Amino acid sequence: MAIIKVQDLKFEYQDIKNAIGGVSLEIEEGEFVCIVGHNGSGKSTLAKLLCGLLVPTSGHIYIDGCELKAELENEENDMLRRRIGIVFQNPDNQFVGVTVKDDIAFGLENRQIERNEIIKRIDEYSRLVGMDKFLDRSPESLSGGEKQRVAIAGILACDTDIIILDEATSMLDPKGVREVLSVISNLKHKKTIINITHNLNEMVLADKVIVMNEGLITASGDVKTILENEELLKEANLVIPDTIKLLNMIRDSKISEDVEDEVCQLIFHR
Amino acid sequence: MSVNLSQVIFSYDTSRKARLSGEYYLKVDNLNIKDTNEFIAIVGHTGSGKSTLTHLLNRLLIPQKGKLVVDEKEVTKRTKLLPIRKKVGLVFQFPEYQIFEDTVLKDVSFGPKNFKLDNPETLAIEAMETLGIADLKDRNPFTLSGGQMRKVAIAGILASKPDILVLDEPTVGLDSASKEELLEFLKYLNEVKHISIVLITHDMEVVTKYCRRAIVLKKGNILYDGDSLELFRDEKLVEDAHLDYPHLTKIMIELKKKYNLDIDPYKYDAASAFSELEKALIGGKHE
Repeated sequence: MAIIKVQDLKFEYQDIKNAIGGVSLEIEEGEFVCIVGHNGSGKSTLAKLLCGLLVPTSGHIYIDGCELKAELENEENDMLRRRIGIVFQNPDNQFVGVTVKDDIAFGLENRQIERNEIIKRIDEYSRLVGMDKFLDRSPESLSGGEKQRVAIAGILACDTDIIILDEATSMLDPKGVREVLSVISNLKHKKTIINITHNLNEMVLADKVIVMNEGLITASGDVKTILENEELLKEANLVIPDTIKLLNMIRDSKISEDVEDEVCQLIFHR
Repeated sequence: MSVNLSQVIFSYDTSRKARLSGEYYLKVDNLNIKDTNEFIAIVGHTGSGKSTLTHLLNRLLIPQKGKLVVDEKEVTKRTKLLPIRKKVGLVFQFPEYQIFEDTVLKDVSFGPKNFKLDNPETLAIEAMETLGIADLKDRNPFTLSGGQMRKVAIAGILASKPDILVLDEPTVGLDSASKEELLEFLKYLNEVKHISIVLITHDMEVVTKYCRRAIVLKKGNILYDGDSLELFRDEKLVEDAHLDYPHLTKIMIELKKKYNLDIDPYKYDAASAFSELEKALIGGKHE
């Protein structure tokens, strides 16, 4: 059964009609999905709707078969929301602790997890994102990328079934991106992951790529099909990556298929 | 005009203990940035001192030791900072941190007004036109999308006519087409308006495609200051500074290894990479 099911979802902001203009989708348990699209295409809005931060204008969202309803004071809703963790693009939007340690502990305390377990998870996840030596540091003494790592650790520590990453790696240095991607790859098929990204390296990890344009889903498929569809990319205001351009040039040339396959494998890791 | 940092030592921790231990956050022996013709990338791992370095360039931060020389004059405690801030304009990582007025026009005019330039609103509109956001002039900047907000922040700095435009990760959060558009615009400012551009980035494609010079930081030290393309030929440096190769270069390096090709893998656009492969694999004959 799909862990996330969305039916004809619509949402409008005060000054943007059709921010989400009727989206339906299904995400299977353990699936790794990337959402791509131009700025303002509705990716982040969709993410916020999925975790109950925004209330849809119309339509339905089901988490594991239970509908996420609009009422705020609903215990059942709370339980559903706790199954989803989201990492925002700007870590300042979710840094609440006075220190790194407090910040990672925040979500765990909210979930009333036992103290010893909290200490254990702080240790484990801070190490995982390379922030274990910064536990007593305050947020203002951290760089943007360091804060981002803390935010990721905080969400991973909550051990939610569904993890939404809203351009969570955009502020990390290449090594940081590699580290976080390796953490995410390890979670692949153990957790359901929705990753909003502009990064090709992240797209190739996905089982499925969803393209959004003007509040609608315009395409959905495996990364190779999506990236090789020039029309679609242009329509979604996305630039064709150099690597795909090279692949197309090789395809149209007399260079052997063997090399073409190799390039294809190098791009898509498969 | 140029900005020069020499023998600079900066630390966020100003306690006596830190001072005595000799620890520092950023150390710059000598760095010179000219006001024309520079397109510089500042790269390095998270926490390496990139943002700190840019904040030292216009005296947002004051180093514990060392000199900042702007326009051949040393900046001291008595130096008026406004003219320096006008010369070196800084666009922060998150544009919402430098936007505060309730309309775009007011916000963009703030800089030129603050620097007491003539006709601040005309300057603001000019800057907004250059960025293609003139139609947003009556909008509340806080209702704009991230990409538009970033343009407002850039227009605000640009309206004050800086000689050097410093941008902290300007392409973060932009989709690939908006990213390209912004970079092409910076290129235009650089080539046509002769404004020097300094940008912080983690995106190696930005470094190779747009920047001429790269400054590599590691743990508060400058490891490299030189040609932005040559940088990637130094495998040890790339690894040491936790950098990465552009995707295309990575593929070319792998192909060179696997097929034992006599090619230069350090090509930074698809066409030149392809022609390199074509030469080696089918002897340059292509129909």
